[in-house]
Amino acid sequence: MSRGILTSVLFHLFLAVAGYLGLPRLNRPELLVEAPIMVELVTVDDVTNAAPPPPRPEKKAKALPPPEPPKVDEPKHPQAAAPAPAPAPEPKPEIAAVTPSPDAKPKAKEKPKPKPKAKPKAKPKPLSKLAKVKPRRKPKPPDTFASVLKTLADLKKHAPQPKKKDKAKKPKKKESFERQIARALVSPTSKFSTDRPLTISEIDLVRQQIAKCWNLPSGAKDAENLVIEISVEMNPDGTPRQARIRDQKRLQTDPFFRAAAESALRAVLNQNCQPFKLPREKYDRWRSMTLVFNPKEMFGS
Amino acid sequence: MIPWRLPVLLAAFLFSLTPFNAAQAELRIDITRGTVEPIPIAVTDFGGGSDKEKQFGQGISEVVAADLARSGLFRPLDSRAFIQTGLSMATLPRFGDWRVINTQALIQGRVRFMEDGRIRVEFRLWDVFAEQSMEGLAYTAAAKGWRRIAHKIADAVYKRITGESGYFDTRIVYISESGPLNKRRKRLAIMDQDGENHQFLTSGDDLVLTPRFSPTLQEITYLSYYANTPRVYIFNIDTGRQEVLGDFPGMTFAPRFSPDGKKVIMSLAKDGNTEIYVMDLRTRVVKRLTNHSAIDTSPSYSPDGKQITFNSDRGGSQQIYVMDSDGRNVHRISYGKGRYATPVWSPRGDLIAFTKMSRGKFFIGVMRKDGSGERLLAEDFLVEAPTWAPNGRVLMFFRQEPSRADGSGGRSRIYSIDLTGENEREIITPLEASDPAWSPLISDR
Repeated sequence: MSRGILTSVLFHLFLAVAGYLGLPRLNRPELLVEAPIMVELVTVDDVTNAAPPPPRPEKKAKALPPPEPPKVDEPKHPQAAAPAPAPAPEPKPEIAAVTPSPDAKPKAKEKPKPKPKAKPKAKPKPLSKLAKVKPRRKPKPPDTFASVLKTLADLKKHAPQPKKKDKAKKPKKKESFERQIARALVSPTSKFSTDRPLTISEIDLVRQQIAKCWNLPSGAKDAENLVIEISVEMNPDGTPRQARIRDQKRLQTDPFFRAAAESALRAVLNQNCQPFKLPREKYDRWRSMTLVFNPKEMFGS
Repeated sequence: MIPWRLPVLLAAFLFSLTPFNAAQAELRIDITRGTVEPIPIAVTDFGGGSDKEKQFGQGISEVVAADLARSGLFRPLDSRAFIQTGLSMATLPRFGDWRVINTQALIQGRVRFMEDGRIRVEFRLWDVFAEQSMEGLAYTAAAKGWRRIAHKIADAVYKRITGESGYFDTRIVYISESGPLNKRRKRLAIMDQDGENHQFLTSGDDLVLTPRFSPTLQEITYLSYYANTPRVYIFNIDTGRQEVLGDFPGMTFAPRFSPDGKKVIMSLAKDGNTEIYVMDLRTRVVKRLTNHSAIDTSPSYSPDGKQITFNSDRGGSQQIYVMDSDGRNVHRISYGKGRYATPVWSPRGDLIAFTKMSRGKFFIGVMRKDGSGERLLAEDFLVEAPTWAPNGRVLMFFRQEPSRADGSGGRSRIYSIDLTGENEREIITPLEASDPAWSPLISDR
């Protein structure tokens, strides 16, 4: 009997010890779960790199990273919306130049026999009319196609309001808080930076940069369904060393895809949008990456 | 205890692993926004050895640049900004020089007179960022055809960069109008898509309306009032010959070719009722497609020839309907407020353009073939008669100002507009113009 009790006690003791040892492991993952939420709060201006988590020990810093990358895909970028209204720096002068075709006329005189002057000149007035027309299309916002062009037109005016509303709140609340964290973390970050993933804000910055140089294939048939992946090998200074369209096979066979893919490639290679503003100390993370160009959102879906 | 703890421990173990996997995954960045700007492109002079060749070269590059600019998708740069001049076809361009001036594509070319008097024009399209040749072609033609060569080059560039075929090597047939409003002189006229090479096809003695191009290009079908009877005619551009299409008891109007050019579909009004008929041009056999007491008119084939869109007031007001090409399966597709008329099926097949009348105004718009996605592109006192560019990307129509009691106003002009609703441009014609019809791409046979 006493033997039985003894074994029983020993066994329970063993269980207790096993349980005790096991628990701490369970605890850590729990912390992980919380962490990602904190990370999202970070915004761009703090690219000082302090982006990371709450005022906790460094261990967490390591743990945090994982959940972020997946989230990046979502339209969460708070600032993505705000800056867009000002596309390229030169756009407006350009448009002006295009329509009246100013140089076309002078040249026309020097011409040979036929008069090759660009006859149809753009009319400035109609544009304003069109602008008025557009509102009328609005009645059918749910329609993908309808929104395509509407979006395009509206883009110039009030670019991106379509996104999340919470963005308005987030920045306000967090800013001061973030700064504090940033300051607090300045030193620790350097230790772990290399293998830390990029924060959402850091990625957003690059996103905006490239978006400015990406000329969408706007009126093409089914343009909204052309998703292009480009693999990029980066230099440490933030310029692409090599960029390659992933789907080489389709490139050979589908002229629409080729046109869209090349427009994406031009966006990557356009020096006006370089170097990509990526944190240098995380070079290992972005040394090679994939840029996914997906115009669907621009077409209203 | 143990049974549930085991899975928990296991799960915890797995969970602790996942972060590392995720962290190791390659960085992916989604770019979901872009801009819609014309692509900056540099069109250099198509040089040549002799002065004459240089002259032609300059003319060609100007026409190419004008075509591309007019599309609204390209922005040809001012040649005074070019850093590298005198490019040679034999050597690579200095791409760095071109990147500096922010061009994304570069067109260079050369003109050479051949011994038989014809000209040979070569061109090459470069991707300035990728430093790669995108396209290189050569055309040979009689010297007087230099404008067409230029349009073909512009088409090749457009196609290579946008993925869609171009529409620059095309012509427009339209109704040229002159004289006072109560005594209008209407003549059939034709011109290149850019307004050049304009010529009148008819004298103007008889009223002509609604010209339509044949997909085989040498023929136009239209409505003419001869001896005060409106009839559908066919006009051969090459020979200048015109003939009445069929001998019908009533009046025929609103003709349009089938996509294969072998049939003409039109309306026939007889005994106070209008129905849609199709005539086989070779056998001259006529078949009636609709049978309804309402007015059925303005038929237009889908590009595959399997369906027909038309205009009918059978539902009480003028609306757009679609039926199979044998006349079966009629269904209404337009349900917006107002009246809809002149449906025209896009050569791309995805859209139907129309004229809409609502609240005392006219609109040019497009909708999908099922009637969804209606968008209005242009609006005015009177806008009418949409016609598609052969690539289904651009529309032309005409716009008329209101006429006033003193007889002024009422001027009508042709305009083109991009499918996106951007880039509206007037097409300059010698006289007033209405009822444009866009030709298919001119083929080389």
